[in-house]
Amino acid sequence: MKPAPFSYAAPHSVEECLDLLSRYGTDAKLMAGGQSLMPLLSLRMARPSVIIDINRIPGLDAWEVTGEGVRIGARVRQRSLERDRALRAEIPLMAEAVQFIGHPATRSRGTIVGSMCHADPAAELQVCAILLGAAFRLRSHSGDRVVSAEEFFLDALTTAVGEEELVEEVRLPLPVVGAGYSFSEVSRRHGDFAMVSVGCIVTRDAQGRLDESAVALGGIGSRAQRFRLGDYAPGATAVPALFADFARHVAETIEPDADLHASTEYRRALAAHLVQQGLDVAASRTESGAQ
Amino acid sequence: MGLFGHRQVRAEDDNLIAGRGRYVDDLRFPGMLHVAIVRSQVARAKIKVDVAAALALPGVHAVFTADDLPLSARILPDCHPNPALRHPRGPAVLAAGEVRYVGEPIVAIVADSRYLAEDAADLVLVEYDEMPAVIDLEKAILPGSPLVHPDVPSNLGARIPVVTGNTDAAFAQAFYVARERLEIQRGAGQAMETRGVVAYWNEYESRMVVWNVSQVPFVHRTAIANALGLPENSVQVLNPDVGGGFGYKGLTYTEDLLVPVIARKLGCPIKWIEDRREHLIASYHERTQIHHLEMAVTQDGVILGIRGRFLYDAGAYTPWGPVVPLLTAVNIPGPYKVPNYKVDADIVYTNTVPTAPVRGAGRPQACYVCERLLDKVGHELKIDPAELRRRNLIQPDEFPYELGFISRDGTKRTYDSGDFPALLGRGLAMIKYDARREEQTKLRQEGKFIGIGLALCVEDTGLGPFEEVGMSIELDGSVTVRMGTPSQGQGQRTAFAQIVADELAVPFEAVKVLTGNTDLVRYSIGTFASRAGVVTGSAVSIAAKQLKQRAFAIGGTMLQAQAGDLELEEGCVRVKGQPSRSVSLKDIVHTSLGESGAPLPMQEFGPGMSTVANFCPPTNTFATGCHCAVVEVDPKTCQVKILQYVAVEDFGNVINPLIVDGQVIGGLGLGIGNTFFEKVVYDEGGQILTGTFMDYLMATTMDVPRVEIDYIVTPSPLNPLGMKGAGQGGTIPVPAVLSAAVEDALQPFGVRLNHVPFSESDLFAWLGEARTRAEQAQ
Ligand SMILES: Cc1cc2nc3c(=O)[nH]c(=O)nc-3n(C[C@H](O)[C@H](O)[C@H](O)COP(=O)(O)OP(=O)(O)OC[C@H]3O[C@@H](n4cnc5c(N)ncnc54)[C@H](O)[C@@H]3O)c2cc1C
Repeated sequence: MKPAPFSYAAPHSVEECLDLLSRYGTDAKLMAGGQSLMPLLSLRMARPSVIIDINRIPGLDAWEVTGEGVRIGARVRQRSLERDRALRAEIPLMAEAVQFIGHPATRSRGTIVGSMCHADPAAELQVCAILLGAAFRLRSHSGDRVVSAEEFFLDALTTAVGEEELVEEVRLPLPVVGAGYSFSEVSRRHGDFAMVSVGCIVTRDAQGRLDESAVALGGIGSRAQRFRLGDYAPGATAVPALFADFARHVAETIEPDADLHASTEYRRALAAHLVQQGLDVAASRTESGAQ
Repeated sequence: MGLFGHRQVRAEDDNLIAGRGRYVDDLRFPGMLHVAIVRSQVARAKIKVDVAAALALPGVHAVFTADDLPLSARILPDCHPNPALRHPRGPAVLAAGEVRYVGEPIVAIVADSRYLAEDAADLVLVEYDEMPAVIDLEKAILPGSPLVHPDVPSNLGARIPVVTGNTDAAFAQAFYVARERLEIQRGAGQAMETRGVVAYWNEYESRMVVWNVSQVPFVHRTAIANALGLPENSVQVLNPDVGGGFGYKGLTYTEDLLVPVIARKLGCPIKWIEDRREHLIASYHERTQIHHLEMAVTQDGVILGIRGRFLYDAGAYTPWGPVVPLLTAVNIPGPYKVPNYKVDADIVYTNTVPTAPVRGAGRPQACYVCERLLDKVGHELKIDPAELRRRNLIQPDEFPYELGFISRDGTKRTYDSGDFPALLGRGLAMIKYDARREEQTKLRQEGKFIGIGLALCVEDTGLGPFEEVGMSIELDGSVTVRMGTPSQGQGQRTAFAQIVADELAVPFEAVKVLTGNTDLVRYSIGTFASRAGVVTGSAVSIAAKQLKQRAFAIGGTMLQAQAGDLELEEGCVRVKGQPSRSVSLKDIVHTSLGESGAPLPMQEFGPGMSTVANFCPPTNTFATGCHCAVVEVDPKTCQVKILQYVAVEDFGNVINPLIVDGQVIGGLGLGIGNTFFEKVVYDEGGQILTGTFMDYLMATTMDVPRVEIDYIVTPSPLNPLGMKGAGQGGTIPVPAVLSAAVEDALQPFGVRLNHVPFSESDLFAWLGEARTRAEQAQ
């Protein structure tokens, strides 16, 4: 469990980092917190010949609120979601999700952006990004671009990030006024990747319609999936069995994989349970309270 | 007695907690080279190996294949030969031409660093000419199955029957017979510290020095001497701090011989440290057994007999003979009266990692199957599980209790002492059994499902043949204890110092316990099977008593008093009632050693205060226990929450309850892993799917509840201090208890558990099956 030989570079600016990326391309791997990359290197499942460590690039360790939302730099640790009250207030969904990600030690190093770039289909932060409609700012010498979460996550461990691109930040919309959020999951042990995780938003428009309410699920296949309530029951307001019906619909729609830890059928059952429960909790957190 | 029984804080802990523990990987010697092992990637194949590219890599010093090893170092020794196992097969040190399991060592690379050695390992070309393999235990004994060893007529390596009474007659009278197929899956010991070996040739003494993590350094010394063709006095085995043993460090592995062989050949220090991946795929596993058993009972649930057979998965080789299945076969009756018993242990070769004892060693399986059968009886005959057990327990006035068959150690299996009804009574009181039953009924009406599980167990501990202890009082009055049973972190330095401090009336701090060095005593067996405390501890007590007698003899002469008038207090021999007539142990040592150049002053005693003692137990002593648990199961998510866990243990007289509490708590952690998490999974082709801690799950601190521990004490008559071993009791009953509790919680759904470990997903599937059964029944 020792990595194959590699060269190491620690650029001091985004420009320098992009230079290195354009020079080494596929041979290079960016390293943020290293919490997913290092195990892959040690098991020799990844053998990049150059490691570009972004931990010395100034600026990437900041987050800020702008008119459009929250921008989180590539070096912001998952731990900030636990510790930084101001950040927690801006993204209540992620603030709730972070407790399920690994352990204090892994969260202290692992970054928010790095988790999303790694694109494990059971990662909590991918579920959050998909549910909230995150966007990613990608930079390279061939030009900068902004990619939506739906376009970003392509498959298990695969994103739209090109080989010469750096993800500089993730952008998250500000909380919807009056909405309620919830995040829950079931994993084998505390801190393990979820067998199923569910993020929920419950929001009503002026007419009390729940159309923009939605759920996103992780651990159910090659990537997280989002389901909008309005697509299932357009114009619905508070109907007693609505959440249960929707949960059943979601569970029947998904095609979760089986693995060592959970069967397809069990994952479906968890999905139904967590979606319904999660929507109930989120609804209770809306401005108008539970239905 | 002073310190015996006292919750003495461990002398070891300051160092260990502060990061000052010193482990085999901390050893650094000038010019030391590092080894990496190339392991088989397929389950069964003829192999051809090309090491040219690896050897050519700069920084690589040597590459070893089977052909490069001396003939004496090609097969690992059989540690427990047993005539029933007619075709034992020891693992090859390096595979010669054929591999039989994924992970089998093939090539050893020696390089400047472990990094380089692993780079070179990547360059070794192994050509696999694949052959059919058999992984599944049940398929391995079907006619036409591929043979693991073509020169062994069948994969069924042995059938060992354990019999007493007449089961046919008993079953003919039965009111009810419970039948089950009960399966326990493969797990492994996961010490914090993996294995490791450092070896070098000591030029000053012309002998091989081997540092390793052994539980049995004397066994390793013999094996290494044989492999190297050296006299035993030219091999020294040393153990630094060791981070856990769990039984699997009590065996001899490839690297234990290979590293000294390489060190001898290359003439420089060699280090090999196992990484976690190697550990998961290549260190010995345990526990896979499939049982087909029947229990015959009367209308009142009184056991008439148990019969059946079970399959034991030996893996590809038999490094420890049939010890584990034998332990299961003799432990199934446990604390219950089973007058008629006939169980066959079938030992089966498969193309998997060899199996050997892991903490519990066959006993968790035994406890599980017996308790599961009893729970089935209780369920069918509608007898409360606690009451059912009460009716079958061996009674306190029946000790010594003979089971009617031969034990693992060849003696008539006889329980030395115990009080099972007291254990059960205490356990039930601690969980407030009756109140819990009422609560259960009430909660069910609210849609909440709690369940109660209980089990009792026995453990054969403190087995022979002997342990030797050397003890000296030094010139400054401090006491040195030398012994052969090394520590894997159990706290021997503390516990044995407590015994000495009491016996010699010296401060605890004045006693130093040395171990982990084959130069310290002449002979030793090792630390395993919960034996060091009992056997070495007894030898410590005997040695201390001998020194005390000697102190009285020499001190009596010095004080001109009769030995009978003397007492040993505060490190001094004193005349009773005349404290001023006193001589310190230190003075006794000084006086009896005499002056340099002059004749010894007290010729009749010989020089100094030093002794050697052995303890040779007549047979095992039996530790016993009762665990009870209350769990809540959420039938929607199938998650299990342990609400209360109670362990009542009878380890006889306990030297240090603090240490023993720790053994119970840690044991419970493994037991919880064995129930819910720890599972080595092979695919059909023999690849291990659980090669990292991401997939091989262990119970963490989040999964192990606070355990309430209490002790019942029935001292063992088999050793001077009345002790019983405490190393495995925490683990053994856990899968039985938690399975019973989960089944009890889900009783309204009709789920039956006959399989450990089980996950939430398994429970979900079983709930579904139960529902289907119920619908079909309607
Ligand atoms: C014991 C343990 C338990 C864990 N449990 C969980 C869990 O329950 N849930 C969970 O979601 N995760 C879990 N993880 C994974 C953890 O969250 C990782 O931190 C995270 O997946 C990766 O973030 P990182 O900053 O460490 O990225 P790294 O490991 O450094 O990188 C991961 C990948 O992303 C790429 N990358 C990183 N940053 C960028 C960037 N700015 N631009 C482009 N590419 C980039 C890297 O090249 C690499 O391919 C666990 C990890 C461990 C070790």
